[in-house]
Amino acid sequence: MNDTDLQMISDWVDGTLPSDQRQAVDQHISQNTEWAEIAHDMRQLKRWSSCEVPALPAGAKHRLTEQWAKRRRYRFAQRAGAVLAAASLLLFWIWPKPVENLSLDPVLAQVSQAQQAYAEAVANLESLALTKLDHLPAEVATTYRDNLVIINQAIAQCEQVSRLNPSESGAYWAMARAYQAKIDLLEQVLRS
Amino acid sequence: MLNADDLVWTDTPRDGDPSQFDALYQEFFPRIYQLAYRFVGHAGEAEEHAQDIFIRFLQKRSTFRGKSSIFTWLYRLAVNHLTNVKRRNLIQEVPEQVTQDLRSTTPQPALQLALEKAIRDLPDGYRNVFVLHDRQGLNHEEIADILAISVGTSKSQLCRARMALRSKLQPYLTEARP
Repeated sequence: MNDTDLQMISDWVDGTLPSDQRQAVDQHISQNTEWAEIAHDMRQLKRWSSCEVPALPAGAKHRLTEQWAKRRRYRFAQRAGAVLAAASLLLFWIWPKPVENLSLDPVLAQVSQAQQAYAEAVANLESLALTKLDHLPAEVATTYRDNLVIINQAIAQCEQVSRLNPSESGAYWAMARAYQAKIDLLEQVLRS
Repeated sequence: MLNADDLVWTDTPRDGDPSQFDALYQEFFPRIYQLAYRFVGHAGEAEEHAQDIFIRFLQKRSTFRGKSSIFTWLYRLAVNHLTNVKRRNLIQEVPEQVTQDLRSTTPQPALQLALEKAIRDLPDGYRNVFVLHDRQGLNHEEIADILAISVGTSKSQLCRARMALRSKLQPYLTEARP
């Protein structure tokens, strides 16, 4: 018996053979013991293999939710760490360039305004989030607080860099990322 | 009522939304669990794998571009995960917990144990097609999409898987013949 014959028997078991081939296999099976045994065994294997799936174990959704929350906190900490690392790198790269004759041109004035607007917007959000933290499980609240500290450090470093070298656009970019990370975190706390 | 594709397309800003999580859970988690069970044959182990697959699905769903059906994409994710797990545990026998479960819940525990072991020992290609076809009930077109192989390859892998199992389970099969 060759591979083609075996393939035909397998397809016959699944009922996917065209009618002319099916009739040919029917005939072989009725006349040839080897063909009949293989067909029988394939059918039997298929029957044994079809298994009933038991219901999901109790508490599966709760365990999944916990796992998901844990992974999200971990991912957020990773992102916050990345922002901090980027800010530190930037600081290291720029430090200690002296800044002379610093003057606020119109663009810097706009940046300053934007920073002020951000500070006002985030203050309210932060106060709400800090209140919410007191009502979260201790472990969750600690993770959020740790992440907040990391992000605040990143923001402080970025602000320091931009003060030292106001013409360095990378500092503003990193600062914007850090601001956004803080807003994301505070929103996440409020949604928890 | 959202359909499965709408749920997946929903973007990351709603990741923290419990109703969004619930909807995705209801729609997809039972299917993932079913598939995992059919690969590993044990509810507890299947739940653990289903958790990992579902979380990976949540993390990656924004990369789904609708080139195949969402369930094809999901099955592909699941099969890749389960194949990797199997590779990492290559020398592992059928776990003790599975053995105990089979002994207490099936009318022919020895046969079921031998079958589970034989399926676990199949090469990845044979095993994936066999489980998806004979256990999960998918057709060859669906399997070809999920595993990125041709329909002909799917059929021949299934045939070889059956012959490999036949050879390993010969005593039980001989006994079952009329």
